[in-house]
Amino acid sequence: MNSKDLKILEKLKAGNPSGYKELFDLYYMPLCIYSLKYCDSFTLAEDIVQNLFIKFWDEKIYMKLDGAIGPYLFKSVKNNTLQVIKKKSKYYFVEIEDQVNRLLEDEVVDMTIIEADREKLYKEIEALPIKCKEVFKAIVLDNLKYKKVALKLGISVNTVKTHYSRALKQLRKSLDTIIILLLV
Amino acid sequence: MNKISTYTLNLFSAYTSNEITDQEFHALEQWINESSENKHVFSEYLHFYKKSRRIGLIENIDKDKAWNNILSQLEKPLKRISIHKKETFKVKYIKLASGILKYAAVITLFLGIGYLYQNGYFTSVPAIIIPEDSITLQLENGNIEIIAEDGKTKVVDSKGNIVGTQNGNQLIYDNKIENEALVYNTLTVPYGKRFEIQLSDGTNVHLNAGTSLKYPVKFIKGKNRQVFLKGEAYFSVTKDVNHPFIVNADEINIRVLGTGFNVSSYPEDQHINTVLIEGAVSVYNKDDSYNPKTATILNPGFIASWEKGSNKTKVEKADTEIYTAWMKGSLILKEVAFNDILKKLERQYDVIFINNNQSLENRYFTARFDIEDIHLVMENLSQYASFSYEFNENQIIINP
Repeated sequence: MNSKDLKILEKLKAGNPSGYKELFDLYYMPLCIYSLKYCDSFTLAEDIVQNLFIKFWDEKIYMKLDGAIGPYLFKSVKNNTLQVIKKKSKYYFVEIEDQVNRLLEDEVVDMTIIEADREKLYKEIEALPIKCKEVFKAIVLDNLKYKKVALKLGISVNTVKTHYSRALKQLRKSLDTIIILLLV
Repeated sequence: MNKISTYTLNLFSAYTSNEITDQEFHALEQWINESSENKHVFSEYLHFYKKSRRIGLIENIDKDKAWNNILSQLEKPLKRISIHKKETFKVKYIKLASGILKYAAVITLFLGIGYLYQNGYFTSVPAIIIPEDSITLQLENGNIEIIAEDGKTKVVDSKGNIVGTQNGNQLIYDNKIENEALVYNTLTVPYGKRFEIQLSDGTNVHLNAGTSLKYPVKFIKGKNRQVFLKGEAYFSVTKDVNHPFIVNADEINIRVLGTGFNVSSYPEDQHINTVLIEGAVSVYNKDDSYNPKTATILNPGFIASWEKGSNKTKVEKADTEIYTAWMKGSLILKEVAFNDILKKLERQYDVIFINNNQSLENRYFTARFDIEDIHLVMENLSQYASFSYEFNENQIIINP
């Protein structure tokens, strides 16, 4: 990844904008995934990353960088995301979230791991009872709120909750979740 | 450890879905703090949830949309640009890496089949499905071969002789083969690609996107060197005063002895344009036999524009760079009608336009693109001509 960074930086510093598109192709997805860990919102994650890309170009951030772009981008995404969610993180277990996020850290740029996870997850989802499956997909994968899911599937919000909990319980083991060693 | 009450499970769901009440949150907090095992279980759920959410995010992201969104919000437009203003038109100069040649495809020929045929390996013609985006070579027996990616291959004639060698995006025909009869091959280049071919007399032809050229595998001694062009090509003809070189382009013939010139003759275009870079050529109706007194003679630096249907030819001085820039992957437009620009972009980038903005049709533009990315081209063009657009796979929809 670093040699790609170098080439992109070279282009950008030489005033060649094609490096900007390459940067986007290389980092857009991993950065969104990284932001999602902290904010758990698809739209917020994309907004934050897009704003960073805009700033990166408009303020010529690349002129200040030497060698690597990735570390700067990831650090900025994290800071910006945390700043936004601080305002609305009333119900948030800081310590546990941090530990879990650390487990996800190393995988963020390796899309193949996520792809493999996806296959496993879908296999398990298919084994769920139909309503359970629909509810889980709607909430986790399609980003819908309980109320919307209830409306869409023609069931009550409480039923949505029940299905969702059931799905979580059954699917939990499908991805390799690591038992976290707690620092007491 | 895996025994969790439905109530607690519901608290997990409420937490992860961000729809938790104050009361529920405190209940969950209490439960987690009861034991480190509970904390474990909760963490595990959370880990799973986050992993699933990642998957959901990946499925939901529309990268094209995100890219366009970014471009539309940049304060400093994405280009290296200098604008020269003239009275009648503006020149927009966008200088980017002229990297197209690098991407212009490294190509291979799969030509073994023709050889196998005549050796009797196949008794019937198998159905070969040819992808629309491949460069193809039609051999003398009608078989169509795909010129695929990477490496080198040989073109073999019906007797098994090697008549040509393909190396990357260049195909060279051999001069040594003795042939008494005219045998034709046809090379077809799809939208978005270019190709170079050297004919048996050493004449070099660059084929632009969306072009096909039919030519003899070997020119016959004592006869004109004639080839057939549909689309656009630049010819660098080897001098041979005894054998005039004739390009047939739709309604016209272009006759030369030895020279460099560009011919553009796309079926959808109204004009057949011949631009002479060096030497001398004459242009005449293909139904007439060549007569130096009636044919239009072109001098270097001039363009002959033949209007289809009316058979009228207009000759004027031309900026030759405009007509040959495509060989370097550039696109230079000088006072070109919007619809013609779209046609050129369709060929060069293999896209399809749907124009819902009629007001643009009557406008003329001047621009230069040395760009390898259609997204950047569209970004620039849309700002310049002020329209909006969206990508739908290889379709580009233009709106007011």
